[in-house]
Amino acid sequence: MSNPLQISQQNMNGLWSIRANASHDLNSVSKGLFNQGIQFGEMLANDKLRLIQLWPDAAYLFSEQAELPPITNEFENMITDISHGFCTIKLTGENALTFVNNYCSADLAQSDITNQCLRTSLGHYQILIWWNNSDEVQLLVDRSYAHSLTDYLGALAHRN
Amino acid sequence: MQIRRLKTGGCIDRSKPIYFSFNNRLLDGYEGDTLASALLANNVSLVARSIKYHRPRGIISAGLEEPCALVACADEHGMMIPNLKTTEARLNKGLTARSQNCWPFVELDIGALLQMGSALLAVGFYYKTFMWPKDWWHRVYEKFIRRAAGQGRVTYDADKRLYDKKYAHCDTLVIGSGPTGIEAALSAAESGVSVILIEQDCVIGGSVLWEKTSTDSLTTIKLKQYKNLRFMVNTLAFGQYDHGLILAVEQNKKNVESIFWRIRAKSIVFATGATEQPLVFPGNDRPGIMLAAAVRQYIYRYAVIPGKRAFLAIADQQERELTEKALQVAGVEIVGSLGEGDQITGTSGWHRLRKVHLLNKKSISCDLICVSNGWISNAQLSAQMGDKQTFATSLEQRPNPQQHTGSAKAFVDLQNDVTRDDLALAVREGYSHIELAKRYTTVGMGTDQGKTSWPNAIVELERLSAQDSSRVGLTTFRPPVSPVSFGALVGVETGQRMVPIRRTPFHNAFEKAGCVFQTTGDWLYSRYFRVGKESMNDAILREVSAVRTSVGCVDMSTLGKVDVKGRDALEFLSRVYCNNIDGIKPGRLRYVLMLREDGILYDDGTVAQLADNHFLVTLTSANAGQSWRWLNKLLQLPWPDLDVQLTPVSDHWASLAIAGPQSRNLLADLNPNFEIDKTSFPFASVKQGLLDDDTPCRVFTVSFSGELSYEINVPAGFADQLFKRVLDKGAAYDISPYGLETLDALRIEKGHISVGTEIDGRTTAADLGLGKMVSTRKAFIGSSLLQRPVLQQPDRMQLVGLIPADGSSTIPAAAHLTDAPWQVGKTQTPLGRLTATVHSPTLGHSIALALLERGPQRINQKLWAVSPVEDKSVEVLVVGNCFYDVEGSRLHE
Repeated sequence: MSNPLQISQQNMNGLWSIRANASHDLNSVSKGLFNQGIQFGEMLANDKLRLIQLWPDAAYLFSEQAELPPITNEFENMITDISHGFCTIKLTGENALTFVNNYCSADLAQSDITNQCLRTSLGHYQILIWWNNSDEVQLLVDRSYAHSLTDYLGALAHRN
Repeated sequence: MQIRRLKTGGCIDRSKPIYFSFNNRLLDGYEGDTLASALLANNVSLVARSIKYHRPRGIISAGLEEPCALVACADEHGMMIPNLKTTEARLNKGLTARSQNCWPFVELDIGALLQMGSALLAVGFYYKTFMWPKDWWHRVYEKFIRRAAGQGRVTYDADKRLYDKKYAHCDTLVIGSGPTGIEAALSAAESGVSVILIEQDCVIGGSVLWEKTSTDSLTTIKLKQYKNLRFMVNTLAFGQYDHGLILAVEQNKKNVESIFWRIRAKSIVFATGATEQPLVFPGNDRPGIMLAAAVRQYIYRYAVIPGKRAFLAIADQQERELTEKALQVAGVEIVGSLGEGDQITGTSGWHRLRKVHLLNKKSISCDLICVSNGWISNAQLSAQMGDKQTFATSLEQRPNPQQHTGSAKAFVDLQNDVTRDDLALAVREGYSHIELAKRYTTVGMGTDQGKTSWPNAIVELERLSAQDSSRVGLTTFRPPVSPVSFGALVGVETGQRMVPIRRTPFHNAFEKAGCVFQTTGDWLYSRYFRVGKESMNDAILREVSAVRTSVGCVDMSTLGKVDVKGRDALEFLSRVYCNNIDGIKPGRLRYVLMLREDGILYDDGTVAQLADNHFLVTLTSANAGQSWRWLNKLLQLPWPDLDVQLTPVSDHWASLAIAGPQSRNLLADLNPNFEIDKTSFPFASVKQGLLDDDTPCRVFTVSFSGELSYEINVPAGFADQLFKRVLDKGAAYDISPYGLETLDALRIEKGHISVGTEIDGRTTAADLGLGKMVSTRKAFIGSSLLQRPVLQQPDRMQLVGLIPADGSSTIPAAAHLTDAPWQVGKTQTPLGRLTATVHSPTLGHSIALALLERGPQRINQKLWAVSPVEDKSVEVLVVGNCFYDVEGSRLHE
């Protein structure tokens, strides 16, 4: 294989959970960061930030920096730092997305996942997946499961 | 030497000979052969012995319906895999196979002597025998039966092969690649939908393989031209489940032994064909009696002639004509055919067929009988989802029903040795419904799952019980359609990968510190820390002593943690927990109890107020997941109007508790940027800040051990750093890390409750001595049903402590409490039961917590802790449930 599958684990730099409250919905936060609203199942990204909404009233904000990006004070009550609670596992290589698709209960290839992000299960692990192209896929998993999931993915890769 | 191989023809590659071993004989075949076709080509007719009577058995079919020719084959690691059908095992280089259920050889099997006692071995004999003398069952009969029973022998070696499990999705799934299946797949692919076509054979084609000399190569080309069509051979669909889920196993893969597929399809086409049925007549089990379509398949597909002199016993005329033509093409002499009114009364031959005997006393010399009693559709997959099958015409109307007109056994189920006489006995004993007869006689319960026996069994039961098939019934089809190995079902999830394992942020550092781990629920948790070569008990003694006299540290990261924010956060928590918490202030925390809706205690934890409208809730490790889901459900369903935001932060925070008289001094040495003296930082408080100016932290003054204690929470990435500093600074106080064993001993000494022991789904807060914590001035979950009379009765089981009456005996674990010692045969009503017991390192003797009827009223009473399992009774004294520092003064030092 010209570009074999590689699996690497990374701790998060900045990750926050944003929850809608009675005063503000997620669109307000999204407009503050990206100048546009966000919908359920959608992912917005620029070179510094990524916002993924995969719950009706919650979204995750990813950042390369450990500090919260500048945001008006009125949103602070909606935001909780969870950056130490998760790890990302990055899979790169030819057909990384196909590899992950083989082991997910969801069908990553189906046409209505246009936003290239999904919350699903891989084996018995609950994960959040996002990808920009088929050769690089990122999985977000609870920190306590990261070691176990990395080992599991390695065993699966060994079978392919 | 392949004396039965035709010189030309077949879908085999004669340029690739393959050598294999069968019962230590070196034989040869070709690529494309199955083990069955290769054995037949080498004129091997005797393959195995039957399960009960050890009768000689050969190959009767060419597919997965094969009931007789089961062998054990060695895999690439030398492990013998039992019960493989020769008709399914592909021939490969170095294959080693041997017969089963025979000793010492298949040609000379001592077990065949059982036939002499066959009258005593009628169906159901084991329900009526082996009863006397009674104790011989364990000493003699069971050992013999276990040795004699079953087909192949399972190996106890670990399976070194790799297995995989994958998902697939499609719009249309077509199962079966015969002409119907292929047409369906091509038609679906042409319409643009995504299609998967699966075929359990190694090549596509289905029945085309035995009706023509080769598959249509154009078909494969046509299938490959559609990018939206994927076809998979060697893939058996074995189960159908809800919502279009098909389970299948694909074999003969490059890197793995098999792939277990979970295929989700929007629509499914079952093109699974049909299975030919044998005839039932006396002596119908001899090697050389084969299904007619199988004979054609061996001739056309494998270029093998199963015999030289063939007799035909085929019900359907078209089937007979096709078979005659195939035999003629192969140069096989047809010595006779069963005509109208003819019946077979028996057969002769031992290791292979020699003669067939007919009703008119005629005997014909032959070595092959081609039998066919029609075809039954392979509808098992759709039947698994409840589709009912019925017979379109009465079975009596089918051509040439065979009656028993001979003395030899007429087998209805060739694999399980079930005869006509067995079914007759079952009917006489009242088991005339197929489901009863099946279980009584085991007809259709072998590895072939009755594919060649259940229809004939229904015919026989109809005739014997004089009922029609609607009264006899049909068997129930359950997955798998054909046997699937456990390895395939398990896939990669073996050993440490069987379930996901969670590790705390301190895991690596603990491992280096000599921690011995154990699994606790999902977690790999610290059990104790071994110093040098000490035993576990010595380690526990050392750890407990450290906590009680100086300082210890323990990982509390597994506790569930929920960040609760919002204008209505306090109102929400007040409804969830039964305590009064409305007076809580920022910087303080409360120990809280969560009840179920029926008033029973469900979980305990803490609520800490971090700021206005901002709280941190802790949940027990055991209930963290369930409680999290429960809290979310409350906000979604009954209380969507509350302005509350919940965020799970269990993994975000690493929590290390330092406990013991020196814990405040140790905390001071960690250089927090906030005051920690007793006044500034009393029990049940929380402070946030930095340690050593670089480590963000939250510190809680809570205690599970009963000693002065601080739970230091840091973001998980700082865990290693925190642990190192705690050990470095703690060295001055002889700090000892400790694990779950010590944690448990400490909490039992203090009488603190735990989920799974005292909180067991049956106890209320009052039962556990916490009744005063339940508010009487607000509504909360469980408040109404807590008032039920049954939960307020004074004689309920309540928490007490126990110590041995003699001060030294060991109270048996999980004992019951009675008013007299245990006596075998004597009925005693238990008054209570133990929930926890330990040898207390602090007190120097055994102690226990127990739930006892009217517990507090029995203080100073003597009872007996009895264990029928250990056959032990110990006299105990009932005491309060706190054995150490009853006033709680050590918390406030």
